[in-house]
Amino acid sequence: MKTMAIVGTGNAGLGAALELRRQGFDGRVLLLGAEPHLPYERPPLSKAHLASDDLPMPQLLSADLLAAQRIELRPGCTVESLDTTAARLHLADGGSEPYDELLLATGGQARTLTRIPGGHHALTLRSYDDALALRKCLAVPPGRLVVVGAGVIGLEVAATARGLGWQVTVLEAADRPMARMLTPEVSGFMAELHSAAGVELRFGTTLQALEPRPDGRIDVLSSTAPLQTDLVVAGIGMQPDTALAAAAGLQTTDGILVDEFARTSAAHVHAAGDAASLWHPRFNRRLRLESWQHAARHGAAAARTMLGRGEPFDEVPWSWTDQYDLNLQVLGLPAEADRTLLRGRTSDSKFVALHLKQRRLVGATLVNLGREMRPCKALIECGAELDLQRLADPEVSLRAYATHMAACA
Amino acid sequence: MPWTPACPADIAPGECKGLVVNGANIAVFNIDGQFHATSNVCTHQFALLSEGYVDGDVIECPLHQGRFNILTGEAEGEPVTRGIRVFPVRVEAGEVLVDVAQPVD
Repeated sequence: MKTMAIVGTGNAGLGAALELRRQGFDGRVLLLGAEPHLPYERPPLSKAHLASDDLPMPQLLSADLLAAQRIELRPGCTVESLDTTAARLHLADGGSEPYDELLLATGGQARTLTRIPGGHHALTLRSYDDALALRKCLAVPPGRLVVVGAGVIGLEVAATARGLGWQVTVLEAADRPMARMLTPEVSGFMAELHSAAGVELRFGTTLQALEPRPDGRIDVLSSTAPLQTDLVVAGIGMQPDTALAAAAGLQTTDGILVDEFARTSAAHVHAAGDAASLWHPRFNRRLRLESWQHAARHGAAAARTMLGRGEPFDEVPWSWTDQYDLNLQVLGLPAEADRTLLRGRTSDSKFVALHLKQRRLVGATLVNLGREMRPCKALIECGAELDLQRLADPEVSLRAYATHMAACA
Repeated sequence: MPWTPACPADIAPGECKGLVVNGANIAVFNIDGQFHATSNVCTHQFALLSEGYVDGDVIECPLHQGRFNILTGEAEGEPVTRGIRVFPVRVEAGEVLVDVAQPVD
């Protein structure tokens, strides 16, 4: 009987396991995870789960359903090393497991403030256990919170804490929020959103030290005015977990290198999700994507490759964030654009930013307008030069225009 | 008494409308000329499905793209696992009537 081994029980690992069964694979599906939990969802960890003690762990799948799918889940199982010659995984508990095909869906860890004196006084947020620890700190009479980093996680934590009544200051080295993900006009909108909610945002600010005080509070020293705070959270991105792959001699850079079929440089070894740096044929470049949707879809694509039914993975990246009452979605690669067209007004908190490169749509940012996601995705996929006048015309529905363009293609 | 007037039957094919009938959030759809009604609230996180995208006989939630079959209410994959309620519908004198006798979410 063939064994498909998967290292990592996040959305990519589980997505692959489920796809193997969906595709009719009847052999052994082995799902190994270092965390002691059943597979769980990460998106609520920075939102609802920080605001309440009453929520159950957001499981991706119940133990019953896993069993019904005959997925052999081993939580709390750390893989020590990978022997690609013998096609075998060596486990921390001394055991080992052979595989016919292997998927590394190892995800990563939250970056920490290791280079900052006292940096270990900051909490980070990546896992369910991290969320429980942070929730404990937030479930007290509200005080002051300093968030380091105005990325998605930092701003979601800021919004949630603000909702709990905390005074929040966000320190960001760049000159605008979510700079990796958003174009400047949308960054500006997000900065206004947080300011209006009472969050103090300090851009161009570098952290210098965290110093605990005798009263239990923390002095925050930075390139701007010093702060005294009760709590510091660092939201400065994640570090893909490539150690197992690198030690086995696989090619890695910022992630485990894979081709458009999710194949690594070693035969029968694949990688997917946050940990994988993939060749994306649509954008003709390498991407390492950190999103819920990408993990599940890329994991499933890797599973099909493992079964010999792979196709190039060229899905348009899509991610979302919920902050206060706002839902923001990012499609494609806004940063590639040479111009941005706005449909709707930012003052209405309901708009679509269309990001174009040489008149072709390469990305879209949707604020409280999720219904426009499909048409925007279709326009990115069609890859055709677009009529900018029609695109900007509020009388022309994006859905109708996307249907029209798809018919022309 | 269960049939309650919901809205005029002027919803174009492929479109939907959100409304409150007997205190319940209902979405009314026109799928290929046939009217259908479902609960209007996503089972994943609070969002009105009528703000979403109608894709054939599927409604896609505007927040996180959970998908539900409009005819059966079934959830069609992650992130949604629980379906939505569907309600009997009929059209009389240009008015959509919905049977919301059962309690709804």
